[in-house]
Amino acid sequence: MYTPLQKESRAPATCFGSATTQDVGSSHQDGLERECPRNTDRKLPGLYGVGDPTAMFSSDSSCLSSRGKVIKWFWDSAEEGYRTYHMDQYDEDKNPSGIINLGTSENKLCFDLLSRRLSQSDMLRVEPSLLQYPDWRGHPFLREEVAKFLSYYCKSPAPLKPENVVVLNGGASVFSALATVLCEAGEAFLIPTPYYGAITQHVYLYGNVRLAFVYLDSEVTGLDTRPFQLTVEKLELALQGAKSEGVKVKGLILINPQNPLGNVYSPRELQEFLGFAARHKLHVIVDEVYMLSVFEESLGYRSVLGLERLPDPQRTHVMWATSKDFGMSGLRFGTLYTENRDVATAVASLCRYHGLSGLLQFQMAQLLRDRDWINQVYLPENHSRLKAAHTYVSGELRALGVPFLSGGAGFFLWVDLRKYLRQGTWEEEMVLWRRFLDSKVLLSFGKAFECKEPGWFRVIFADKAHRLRLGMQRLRRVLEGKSQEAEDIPPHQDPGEQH
Amino acid sequence: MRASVLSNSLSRRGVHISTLYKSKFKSYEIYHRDKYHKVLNTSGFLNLSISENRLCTDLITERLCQSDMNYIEDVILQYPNSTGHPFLQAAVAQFLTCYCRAPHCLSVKNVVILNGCCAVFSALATVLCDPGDCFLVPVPFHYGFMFGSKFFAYIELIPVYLEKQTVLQFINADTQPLELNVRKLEQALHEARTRRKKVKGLLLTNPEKPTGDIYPKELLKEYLEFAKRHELHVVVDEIYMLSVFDESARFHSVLSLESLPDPNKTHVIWSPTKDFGISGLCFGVLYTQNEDVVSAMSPFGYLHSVSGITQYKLCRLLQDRDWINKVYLPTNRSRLWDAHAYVTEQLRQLEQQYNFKIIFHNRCSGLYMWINLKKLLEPCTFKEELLLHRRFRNHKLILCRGRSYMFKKPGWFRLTFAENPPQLKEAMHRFGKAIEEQKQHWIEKMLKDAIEAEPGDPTVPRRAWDQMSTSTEKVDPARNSAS
Repeated sequence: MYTPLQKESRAPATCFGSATTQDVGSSHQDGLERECPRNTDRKLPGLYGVGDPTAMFSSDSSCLSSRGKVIKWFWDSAEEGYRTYHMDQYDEDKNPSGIINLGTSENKLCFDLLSRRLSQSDMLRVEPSLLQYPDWRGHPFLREEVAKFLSYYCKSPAPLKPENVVVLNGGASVFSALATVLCEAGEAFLIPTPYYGAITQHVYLYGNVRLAFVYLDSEVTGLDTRPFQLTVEKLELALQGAKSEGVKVKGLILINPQNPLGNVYSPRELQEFLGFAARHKLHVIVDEVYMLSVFEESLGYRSVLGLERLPDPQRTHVMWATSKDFGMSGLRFGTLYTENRDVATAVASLCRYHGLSGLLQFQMAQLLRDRDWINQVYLPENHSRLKAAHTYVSGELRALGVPFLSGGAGFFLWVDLRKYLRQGTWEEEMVLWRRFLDSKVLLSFGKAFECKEPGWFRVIFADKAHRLRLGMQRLRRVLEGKSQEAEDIPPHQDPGEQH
Repeated sequence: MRASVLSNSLSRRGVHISTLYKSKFKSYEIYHRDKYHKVLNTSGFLNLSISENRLCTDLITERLCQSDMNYIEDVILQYPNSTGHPFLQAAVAQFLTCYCRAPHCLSVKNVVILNGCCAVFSALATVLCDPGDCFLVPVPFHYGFMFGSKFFAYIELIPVYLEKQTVLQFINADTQPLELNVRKLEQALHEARTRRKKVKGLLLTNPEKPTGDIYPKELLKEYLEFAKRHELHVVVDEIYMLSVFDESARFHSVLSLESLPDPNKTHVIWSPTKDFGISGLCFGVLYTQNEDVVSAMSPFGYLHSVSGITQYKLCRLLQDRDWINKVYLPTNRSRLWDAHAYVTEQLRQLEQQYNFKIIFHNRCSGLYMWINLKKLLEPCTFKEELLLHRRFRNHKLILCRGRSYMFKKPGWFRLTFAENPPQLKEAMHRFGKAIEEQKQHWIEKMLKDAIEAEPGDPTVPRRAWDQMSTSTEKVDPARNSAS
């Protein structure tokens, strides 16, 4: 039965991450306490923390319930940046001084390819069964295509089964449904940070599930070979830490390729993390939404579904969606693959509330089965454009002397702006974020990803050249302290401009 | 072993969700595995339990295939606004202004778009209520509402039983509505508060489902005044707004009222899915003047999102006033009327043929009728109702039974008539077969009771004697001679 989430009687170990589904950095309301104390008196400070979404809020909306007020407050504060952007969106003709969005993780490079493909005649079929109530798990024809698609692209050792596929209206819904069926209210998932902060809301809104953070350091210490490296030792420590705070951890969330870091876990690492979860009987939710957005082939990406053997197949659940890999965040299509029939059935029980139109299901099936178009047209072109955009933005950052991490997957760079903060505090991070926004470029600040220390920002590069150029100019201006009135270079002068 | 596997994988609430879903929506799953097809699967299930309008699929298909529907641009492929694309919000506001006959233009910013009315109510209940809070809901109401309330919003739905529920002696009840009145609401609220329940709101459906009743304007105002007096939210689900096919019936949307007693606490849910027969498009709308509610609903826009492509098509559909007014609505109403008349006639014939009364609740709105087959249940219990429900299923026909609607008395069934004529005909044929079998079963049971009892024994229902003496049905001579 549901029990209301109790406010923590002691100070929360960490603040409730305030990221949105679009991963846009937000501003914080004036007057609200933003700097939450870390638990420095703990045995192993700074390695773990548990989010408490009800830790702080204030709202005077008298018509809403207490729960409604929390939800509203959180949304208002988290979405401020995105709302500001929407009210003053850059348009090269109608609003050239508008805000450039380098904060939302979307791939805007291939709309031309997608529009063309989605407009072809095979996409336009309308039949009665598509207009009527479906099998809420997803139309069988679509689940078959998803199984085949994932078998192929994940290189699964054996064909994946349609009966293990459940279709929902986006990755957010998959998280929400899994949280509800795997956890009781108040229980938690472990998640390494920095992470895609919107997951906080996805698991909390209906599921009332919290996140227990595994803080990763930017400094490479001990046996680590790269910054923000996840290891089993860190997972063990975080799990113990959460338990010591009386939090029941039911699962582990892994995002692979990682958002915002853009790197991938090696097969060996995946096995280790899955082995850790199996030892502690934890479910593992693997979000592979950037699976086909690995533009550096040398990374050697491996899907969990491509591993020869899973330590605990009944507790391993993989999610994927078209929103990132096919650059169609607006189409709202996500899938869950799990061998656990009970989990699949329980999630399917909630699918009526996460349904997607039959017409869209048909189009997605058409898209996924078009191997030729995907392999010969879309993927090569997408990767090529991603690589070019990545090269441009990383070149600009290097020229500025700004350090960054770049994994070779996804649409983002994880940028180290610590040296630009007057002090290493969250307030200063927000000050810098606001300076970017005032200069009409929207980034995502590190606090939204529950980064351990202030000063990291996520910069999206999967956008058209003229917008990237303008965005980087504005970013440069802020970092070099130049005035806003300096003239922008007009957008269409570069002969190398993409489509 | 099975239980331990379940508890190892799922949380307790996960097990609860799954178990409840399987028991309550079993027929739905069965149907989807073996659906009737006029060519490919003539022995498949016909589903008259599902609240879908299948009468105008031809019209809607044709409209959705027109070229203006197929337009893809960047904004459609990108993350939409959490409350819906502005172009669709505007189309919805204009549509509702027109068809609800709103006295003033409805505002775009008051529109929230989610993927279905169940989703709208779940999200709304989550922001209006704390866990454990309650909504008053007139019975009958469908179990599906309860599922969302229980497993998403964690609220309780308190049934409010209608006036005439126990006085159902009428036949062809055109003139005796199942009437909700304010006295019943006051009573239900008082009882709930006595039990220390925190009632936050009232959920109304207008036209009502499954009865098809339409609230007169004055009664609607009374309900809103009641809610205001007690500081309750009112959520009005008007999903069958355009499915009123009796021209003499007058439907009044809440949005048509000149003024609302408490606009900040009045929230209207609507969807074109029933009115336009597009349930598979998964789309629902909330209209509320309360900005805080709109804002609090926004995060649910991702969990209950609608694809940009679907939003675009719906926008085109709702904007096409000519097609709606000149093609769709008149044809839809006419087909609903005919289908309703056909089923009514079939039921009357069955009454004649098998000499038993079917109690109708016969309204000219909505997609289904509410019938009571209690005269064929012996004893009249929910167990017998379930057995009859299974009998229909054995004849490959799925109906919705009254128990799913929280009804106190057994025997009620919901029968959708908005099905294509050939399928409807086949369905009614199967219905008749099941009724015949049930009647036979009933007679055998009566006879058995009669044989085992002494003549004049008051424990034998009087009607059994009457039935045996007047029945023209076949009776087993062997049994007859044994008495």
